[in-house]
Amino acid sequence: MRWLPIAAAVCLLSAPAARAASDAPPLSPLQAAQLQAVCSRCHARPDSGAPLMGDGAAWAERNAAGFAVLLRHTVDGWRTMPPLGICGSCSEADLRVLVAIVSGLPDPQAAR
Amino acid sequence: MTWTRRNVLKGAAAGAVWTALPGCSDPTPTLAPGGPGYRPGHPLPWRNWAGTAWCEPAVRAAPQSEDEVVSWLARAPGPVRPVGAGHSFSPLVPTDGTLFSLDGLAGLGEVDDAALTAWAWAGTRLGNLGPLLASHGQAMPNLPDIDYQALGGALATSTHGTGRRHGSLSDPIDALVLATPAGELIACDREREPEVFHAARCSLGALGVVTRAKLRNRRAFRVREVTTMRPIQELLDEAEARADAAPFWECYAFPHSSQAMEIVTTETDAPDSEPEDADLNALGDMRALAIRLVQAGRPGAAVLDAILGAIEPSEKVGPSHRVLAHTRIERFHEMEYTVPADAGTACLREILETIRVRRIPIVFPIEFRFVRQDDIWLSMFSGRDGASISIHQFNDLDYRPYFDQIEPIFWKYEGRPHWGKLHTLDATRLAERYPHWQDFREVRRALDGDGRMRNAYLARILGS
Repeated sequence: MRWLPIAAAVCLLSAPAARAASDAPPLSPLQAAQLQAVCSRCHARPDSGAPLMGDGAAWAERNAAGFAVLLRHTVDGWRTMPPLGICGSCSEADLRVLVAIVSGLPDPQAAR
Repeated sequence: MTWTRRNVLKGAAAGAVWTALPGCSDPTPTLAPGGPGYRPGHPLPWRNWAGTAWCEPAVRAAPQSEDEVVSWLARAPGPVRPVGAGHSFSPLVPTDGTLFSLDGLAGLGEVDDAALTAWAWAGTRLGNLGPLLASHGQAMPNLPDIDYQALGGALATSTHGTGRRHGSLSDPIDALVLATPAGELIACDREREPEVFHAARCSLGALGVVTRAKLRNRRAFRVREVTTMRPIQELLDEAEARADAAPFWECYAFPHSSQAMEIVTTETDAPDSEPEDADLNALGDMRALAIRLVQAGRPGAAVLDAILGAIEPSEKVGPSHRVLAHTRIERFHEMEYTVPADAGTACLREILETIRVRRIPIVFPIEFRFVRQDDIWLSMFSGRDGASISIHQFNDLDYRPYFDQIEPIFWKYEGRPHWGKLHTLDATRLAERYPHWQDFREVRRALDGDGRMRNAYLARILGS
């Protein structure tokens, strides 16, 4: 029952992000919690200064660097993006799914 | 702190000539993030928000129920270190054993609308807790300056906001459940297992893993935050009276300047203010100019005063959980000590004078807050009202040349370091600052005699 509000919040993500999500592997309950509790704290808040989920223009230049760079910046931190996106529970597999959803750039490893 | 780019740049333009001074560059050594970065094909490293602590854990545990917490704790390789948002600057978390996250245990449990209490899972991020409580007509009595932290991490370090009538977040806790390293669940409050309760409300994650806590809340309320620049000496002269007059009061003193930013927050029934025109990068944008002004000595300080004085008052109104906590995107390093409340302004004055006389090249404002005393054994506010003073350095600069000069001033005023922030004290020197130090050690010995929760940092600050 604890997952109901999380699932509802994920459903409220913008349409482009939802399209990206449809290309990504299905979210585990933990990944849904990570997306709602951690990623969305900045990437779904217009006042955070972070590029928003679904904002293609904001992500275009970042995504041009490729998925590997996005992943490295997520793990190590990059400018105002904190290391691991302050997600203590995130494994690399979790981060790959979450980065794909937040940026809208599919993980090439997931396509293999 | 509310800046607007318009205001800052308007002031900065007046001092732009100083940026052309020859030989003026920031002399502070840079500091790269520590530890191994991401390496494809290798285990995922962990690093804290500031990049000052890191590790390569053998195991990442992410239980999604209290039963799973117990099961994991019984078999997880040590050291077992709980992690929340990783916002602590001190190395509380690093382990080559098990990194233990409660992200999968988030949200509210039982809510009592009449008693205004709510059980909350320890993995809940504070920023998500506010809206959840608001949906039940409740609010936490106070919040810290930022709300990225997980509830469990905030409690473990006695994280606090500001206000002479408010204790830390660990204070309004009526009960909690602790999962011990042996894999037992202990439900405790002031009557049941009171020693465990007094120790576990601020435990540094040394006793096991707090899975949930019963929050003693109040009815949801709205606040108005007013931010104004004022002369620092005048503000410090009146600090205690001004803090008595407002439920939430704090100030930021600007080194090498006569200016401070006062933030007064009071309750209101007024409607939400318009979204603020805050420039989240203003401090970073101003950094290069401010460094040059500091190096220019007294004339530069006058220009800095003019720039800061150009910042206009601002106001923000909304639900408490949206106003008391702020968005901070500029990463930094931080040291904070809490000194006795009546010594707070003297301590801050000495810090500012030391910075001025030694011409320490620092532009980051110094945060000054009041917090009410509590009866929690290892809380920084244990048995005495406190004034918490926080010094910061930009994340890419070496904080040590600055912090090393200021930390002895905190010691002179009997300061206690914030458990989640940087300091250099060890167990011997910390023990003399806490009347219940030995009581905590005995609970720790009873619950974790084998030291499965102990990492190198805990060995330093708590002893073996």
